[in-house]
Amino acid sequence: MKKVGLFGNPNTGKSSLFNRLTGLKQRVGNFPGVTVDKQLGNLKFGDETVQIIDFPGTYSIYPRSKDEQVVYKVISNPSHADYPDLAIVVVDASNLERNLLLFSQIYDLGIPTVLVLNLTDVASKNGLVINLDQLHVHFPNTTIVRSNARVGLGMKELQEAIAVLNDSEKTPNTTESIPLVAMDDLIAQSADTTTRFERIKRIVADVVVKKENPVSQHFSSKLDRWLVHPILGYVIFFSVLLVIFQTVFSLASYPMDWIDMGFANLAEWTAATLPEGLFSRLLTEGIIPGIGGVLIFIPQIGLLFFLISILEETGYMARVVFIMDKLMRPFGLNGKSVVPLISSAACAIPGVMATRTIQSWNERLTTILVAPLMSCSARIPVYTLLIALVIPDQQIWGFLNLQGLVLFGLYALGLVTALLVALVIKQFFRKSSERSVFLLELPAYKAPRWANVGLEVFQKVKLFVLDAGKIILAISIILWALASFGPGDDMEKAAAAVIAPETENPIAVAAYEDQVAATKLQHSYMGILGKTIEPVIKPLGYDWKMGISLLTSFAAREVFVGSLATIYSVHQESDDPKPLIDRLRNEKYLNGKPVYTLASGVSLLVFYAFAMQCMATLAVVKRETKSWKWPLIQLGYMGVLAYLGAFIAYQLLK
Amino acid sequence: MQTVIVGLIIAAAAAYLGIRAYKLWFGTQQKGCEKCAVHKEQSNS
Repeated sequence: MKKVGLFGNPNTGKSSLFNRLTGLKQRVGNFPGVTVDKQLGNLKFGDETVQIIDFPGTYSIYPRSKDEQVVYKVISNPSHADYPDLAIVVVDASNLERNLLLFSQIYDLGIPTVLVLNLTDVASKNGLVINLDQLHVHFPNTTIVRSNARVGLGMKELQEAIAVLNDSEKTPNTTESIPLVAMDDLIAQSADTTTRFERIKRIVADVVVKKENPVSQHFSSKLDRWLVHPILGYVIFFSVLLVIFQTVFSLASYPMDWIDMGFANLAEWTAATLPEGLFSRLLTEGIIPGIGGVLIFIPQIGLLFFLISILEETGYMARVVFIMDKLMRPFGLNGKSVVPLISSAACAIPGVMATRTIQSWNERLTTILVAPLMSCSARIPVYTLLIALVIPDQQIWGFLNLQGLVLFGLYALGLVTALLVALVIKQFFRKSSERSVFLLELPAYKAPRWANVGLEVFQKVKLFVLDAGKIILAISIILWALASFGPGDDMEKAAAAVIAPETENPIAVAAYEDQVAATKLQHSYMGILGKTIEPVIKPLGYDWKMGISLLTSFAAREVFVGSLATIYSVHQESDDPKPLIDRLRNEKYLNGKPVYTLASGVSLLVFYAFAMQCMATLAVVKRETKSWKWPLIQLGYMGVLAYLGAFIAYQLLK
Repeated sequence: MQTVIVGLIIAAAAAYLGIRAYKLWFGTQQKGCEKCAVHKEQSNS
């Protein structure tokens, strides 16, 4: 199969082009560094297929970081399995001078090339007119295509150029091949780059005419005066975050309540319809609450990522990266740590992988170690359930919702802790004299593409439901089994020992049934396990049921809620279906005191803010550091931080 | 009969979790995040 390599500077729209060509749905973003490894996709021409390889963005063939090495390793070795038969080099038409460096390097290797002038809409808005015929004079052996991948402009021409490769043996590039400079010969690389830039300057002066049309530039500059302002920039960013969390809390609560009530009713209906037995109990006490515990968070996750992806699409996230760079430097974090840390606010796994852009090993390791402290989307279900449970739903200063404010505070807590831990690591453990340079080009503001926003929301929700959902469901089934069975006939004996009321007073009967249920649960395998770990978690204000949920959520944080849903459904004889949150509110110790109080709730929130409860992230850290040592250290330090933080929170608030 | 079905479902759930954990730590293909395409690709390279 013939191979077509997709190359270009970061944030030139390669991934959008890749998606257009292959029909795949790789993530795109209006900020640099979204692609950190090569991606594969296919393009069909009748019966034949061409493989499209999307390489990470790089400014030059000569690598400065791990992700950029991918390009050099492939392009410098014609016998490499991914060596392209055709190179499509995507350039930002609004910044030809910088982008032509990479193109000229690939062109001079003698590989057949297609030069794609992308972002032509931005170039036009900036008043730039590019003379394609004249550009072709300077690069006669290339096909030049004008495109706008956002709207699909130029795709037909590009496919035709690829089809030429498919029909003939090679698209002719008669350029005499100029060999690459060795990867470690920095002096020769610098000389080569300088010579190329001098030539490119002459070419750009020859082919680009700048008309006076500064409307768009003025608009972007005017906005940037406020959005990247040294003080106002932070005020605006934190206000935007605050508005997002307020919106998430106020709007998502309605559909969440409907879903919660719907599943409670479904469980009741199933119990009434199916014949009584083990299978019916597994469905109503294990599987239905388990699935409900997953689906209830779709509105919040969908809404949060809808708002965040609008910020990304418009180009505002690039400004956030820019201002966060300044914030992070005093804490010893590299400028290039910003993108991994911001990515970790969605999921730590791509965040850890994005650290490949950091050249210095010490700085990369520090970023990997602190990235999971950023609040990821898996924490949302835990945070929102506990906040709704223990934080009063009230307004402060007349317009701020206290629950939304606490959610904002938890995200801020994650960021501040990550910065402080990075500072400690830097000062005491991994001093580094190397300072990596962080270059960031601020893209022009664009109107969001709603198809991309919708795709992002759909993928996030799908990932949560299908990936986390399967684990939650499987754990719910196991928990149900552990809660439903016990050693020998201990459960029955203990239940029989509960004294039945002598009257038929419904309140007394209900109290008796609740006590039988609680006794059975305590004597089940789960109860025995929970009671065993209770002494360790008691100082944090947790009972054994929370302890079991805490244990299961070491697989993934969001399992906590599904586990609670299952635990509180088993042995429940009540005819009145209640949403999980009401069951948790009514949970009391034997002395009548509520289990979920402000103290125990805040303690749990702090625990989840700090604890390393994600097997998938640990596995990625192991792979990226090629050692068991660092994931274990991460698990250890975050565990200690979580335990101490939760202990202090509980002891202060109880 | 119900006991057998329930037993099979529990065994399937336990096996699923075991296989997921094994693949995560010792397998080549990584899953579990938004960039699954990256993981799949890495396992091939």
